[in-house]
Amino acid sequence: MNLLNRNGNDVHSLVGAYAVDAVDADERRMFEEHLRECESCAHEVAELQQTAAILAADAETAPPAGLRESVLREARAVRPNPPVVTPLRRRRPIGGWLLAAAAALLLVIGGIAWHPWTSGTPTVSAAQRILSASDAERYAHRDGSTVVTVVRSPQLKQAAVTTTGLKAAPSGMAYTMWLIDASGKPVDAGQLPPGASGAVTYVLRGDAASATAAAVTMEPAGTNPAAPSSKSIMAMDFSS
Amino acid sequence: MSVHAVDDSSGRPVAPDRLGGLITACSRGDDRSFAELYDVTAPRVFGLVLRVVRDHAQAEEVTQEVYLAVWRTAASFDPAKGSALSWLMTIAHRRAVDRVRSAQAQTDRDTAYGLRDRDRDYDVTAEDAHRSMDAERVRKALATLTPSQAEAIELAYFGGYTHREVAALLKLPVGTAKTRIRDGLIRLRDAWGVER
Ligand SMILES: [Zn+2]
Repeated sequence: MNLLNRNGNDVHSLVGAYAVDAVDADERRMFEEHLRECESCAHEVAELQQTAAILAADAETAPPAGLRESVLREARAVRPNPPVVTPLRRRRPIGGWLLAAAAALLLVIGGIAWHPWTSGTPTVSAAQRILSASDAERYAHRDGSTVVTVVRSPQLKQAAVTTTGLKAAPSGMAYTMWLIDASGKPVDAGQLPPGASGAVTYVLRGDAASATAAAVTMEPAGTNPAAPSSKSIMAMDFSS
Repeated sequence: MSVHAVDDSSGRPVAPDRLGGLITACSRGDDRSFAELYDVTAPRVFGLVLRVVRDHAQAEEVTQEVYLAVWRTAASFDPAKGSALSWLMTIAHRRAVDRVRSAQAQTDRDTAYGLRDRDRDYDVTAEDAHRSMDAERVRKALATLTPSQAEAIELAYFGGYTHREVAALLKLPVGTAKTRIRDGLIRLRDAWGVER
């Protein structure tokens, strides 16, 4: 893939700036795509984040006394998210926590999909296969000029999300897809790159055939939430 | 040196494994471990957030967000990928930076802050600053950076500026600030013997 950024600079060189969040949203997205393919940068990011954590000692300040109680009170009212039980081959091991969770998403640009986790030439679009499957079912969510449609093919056991007029997520956040399993539990289906907007199409991760619904939440970009941290902003019920 | 948080009351370092153990206990809903995690790490989290967002009230809000995110997502902490403290501080820094870059925070932020005159010994929080032994070590290591590296890291990490903004603030060509940030971090990493 293209290793040069918009200034023609080597994308590896963003590693330090990324580790201390000194990148804008475009660079973050670009670098997180790069991190999925570059072991060396992934390793360096982890080390430099570790270094930055030590640096923070220089800022140590006693928090206001009342903060402890409000933090503890708030936590008591919330159940911690369960761990994600991942299939063995789900993800490549990658360093750092702030890598995009989109590793298993197919990013579709202009109808051509590529696997972000493999380098090389674009493959025939898996999204197109789902969108044009003979058994494709469509579940749309409309909000003003925004239309978000989940297209599911039980035969292919896959689903894709396709949007028009999607508003970019707020800075630092990303649309995160969930497939709700038969027991009602949301399973992480991947995250759209933080700057995704307008018309985009992504293939969801996970078994869409056995899912009962899809949902969208807003999560911090690049995180790998074990469960939604907030109420869904969109939900598409497959039984309807 | 490895990554330690410091128990604020005693100045005694807390073993990294201990922090990881507390986070794991949080994932199972153990609120006593959560309270201990807070007690051991809050000065560092709050201090970092305050340094970045500058405003006390906002720093409190962001710190609260950080700990709630830690409580909720504790199950996603994976010791194989890095230390518990790094996991925590990465969450805290990202949230602080997001806050300071949001439009609302931008208006509250003192954009006229005199970068040129900025003393590297911040004293904005001197009255309640609670510096640990670790902080002394950090300052010594910071002093080994070239002044231009230290300045770039400070603006990026504690200022919450992007490397492009850092370049503009320091009147550097665009590619130069990110190089200084990286080189400076690498020097600190090597000084501290940080390993993943
Ligand atoms: Zn790289």
